[in-house]
Amino acid sequence: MRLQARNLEVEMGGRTILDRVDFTLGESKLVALIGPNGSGKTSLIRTLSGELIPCAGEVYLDGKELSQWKPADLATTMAVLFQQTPVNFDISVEQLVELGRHPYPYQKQKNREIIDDVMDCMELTAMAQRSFLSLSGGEQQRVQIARVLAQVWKIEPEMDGVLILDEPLAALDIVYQYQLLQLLRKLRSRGLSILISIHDLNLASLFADEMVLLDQGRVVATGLPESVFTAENLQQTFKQPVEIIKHPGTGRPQMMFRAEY
Amino acid sequence: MKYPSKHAIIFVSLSLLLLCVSVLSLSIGSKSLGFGELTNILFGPQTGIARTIVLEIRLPRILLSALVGAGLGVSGAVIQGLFRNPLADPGLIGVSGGAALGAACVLVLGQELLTLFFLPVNLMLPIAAFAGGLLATLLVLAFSWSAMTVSVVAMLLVGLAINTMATGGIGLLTALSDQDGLRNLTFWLLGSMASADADNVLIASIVIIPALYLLLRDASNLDCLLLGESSARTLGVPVSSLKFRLVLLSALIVGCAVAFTGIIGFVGLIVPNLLRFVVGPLHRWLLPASAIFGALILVTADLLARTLWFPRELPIGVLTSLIGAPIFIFLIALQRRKGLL
Repeated sequence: MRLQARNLEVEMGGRTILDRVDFTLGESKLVALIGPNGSGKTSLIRTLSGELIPCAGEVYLDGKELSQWKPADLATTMAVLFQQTPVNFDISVEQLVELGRHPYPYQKQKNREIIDDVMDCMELTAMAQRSFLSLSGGEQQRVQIARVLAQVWKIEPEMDGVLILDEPLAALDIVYQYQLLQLLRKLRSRGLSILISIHDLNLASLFADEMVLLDQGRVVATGLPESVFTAENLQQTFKQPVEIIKHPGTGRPQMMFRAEY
Repeated sequence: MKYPSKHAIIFVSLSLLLLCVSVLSLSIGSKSLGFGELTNILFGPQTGIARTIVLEIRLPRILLSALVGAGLGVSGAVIQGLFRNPLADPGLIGVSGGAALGAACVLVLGQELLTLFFLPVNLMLPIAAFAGGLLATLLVLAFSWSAMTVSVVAMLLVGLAINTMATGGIGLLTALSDQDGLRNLTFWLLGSMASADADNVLIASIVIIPALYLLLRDASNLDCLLLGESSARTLGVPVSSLKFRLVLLSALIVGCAVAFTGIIGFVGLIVPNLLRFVVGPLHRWLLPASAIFGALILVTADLLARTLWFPRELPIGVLTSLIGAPIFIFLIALQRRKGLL
């Protein structure tokens, strides 16, 4: 187990945001967090990354409580991309990605290689010197993703970091959504443990090893896509009539809305 | 890597320029001196009135200008990084105003208090100015800052309120004080290097140089802060202690600067903003460049202040404000074009 949480409770303004949530991110797994708006996905991610302090329950990373980690060690083990990352200064794409290597100040040469690697992977090399502020929303998102990837990236084939991404697909076009999920799957095969919150249910089911379905701060279902992604669970959560079909290639469950004209 | 060479050129030329202006400033004034004469005074045996003018009047002024300029430039860059907004400035957001009020309190009301603290007045001044500046910074932070965003509007409005309060407070103190009050009021509000002497330079350098050093050490942490507090934390930056340190050190620098020279507006705003065009937003380049450029600007401004209208002397803050305010408006226009304001 890399990341584990038991019995998390989070309250904000007298409202319960997370209600007795258990969570597990296994070694070398890609876990997708799904649920409607306001179901607590972002709050869970912020709690798991140590940004939100729960009023009850603990978060453990590699068996050690999150608050016991030294900030510097935590930063070399776990990278987090939050949904809102406002930037007000005219920083270049390359400089922003380089910030992801801030936890590793004493390995300049290696950092250089990793940054080149990551930028290549996210197809950013051509815009390396462009101003971040001049980019489109989707391009900015790719740069931010490259930044967190750089934080846990390794030149060697084996990786061992934990990566948490809150809605990384939000601003991306369909092709980049698909490519990013392909890349994340490849990285989890190289050893990265990844938690990603995602709105597109079918993409989640197609690529995730495990899924966590949240609704109103509670875990409705968790486990393999086949067990989470059932018509019953989805109808209960999203309050819409749905059909489940099998993906032709992989056999993974896919959802379709029932249409009545 | 192609950056260092470009940056090296900028650093070397700024430093050379600073040296040239300083030498020029040593030789120009009520009594103009040739280069040979100057060398004789600085390194040779020459004594007399010229030596006194150079070593006891002009040199302290240049050193104080350089210290204060470097301090204001760097704390401007730091405060902008802290607020994640290029429009923040110690003067605009009320830090200088708060510091001036603190200093004025000591000057006018402090004679009785001073005997209480057993401290000489030129030590009490920077301490009071620091306290005033710190209070102002904390006020602005409290009203404009949340974890994800910093409200620029709130920041500037609270700054405006603090500045108004400081002006009013200083005015009140002036009314309560004796005939020297009016002169002091203009001094605090417009800024001047006229108080420069060996003692002040010594105290200013004891405060400003170590504070600058500590701020420069936080350059890469400030870079991470560009991404917002939450992201900086995930990059291993101890955000809370960093914020505390940056606020404290910049208030210390601004307080000390104000205590000796009054409010010198817009230096902290213009210096980092102009430099961002050349060296980019990363603080590992921006902070040292701001120190050198800030020093250059103030040494130049002081030279102009005491020679333009000779034999009268312009308050140096008048010069920086007259030049700075239009640049500020230009920066706002630029921000609007980028859709940031």
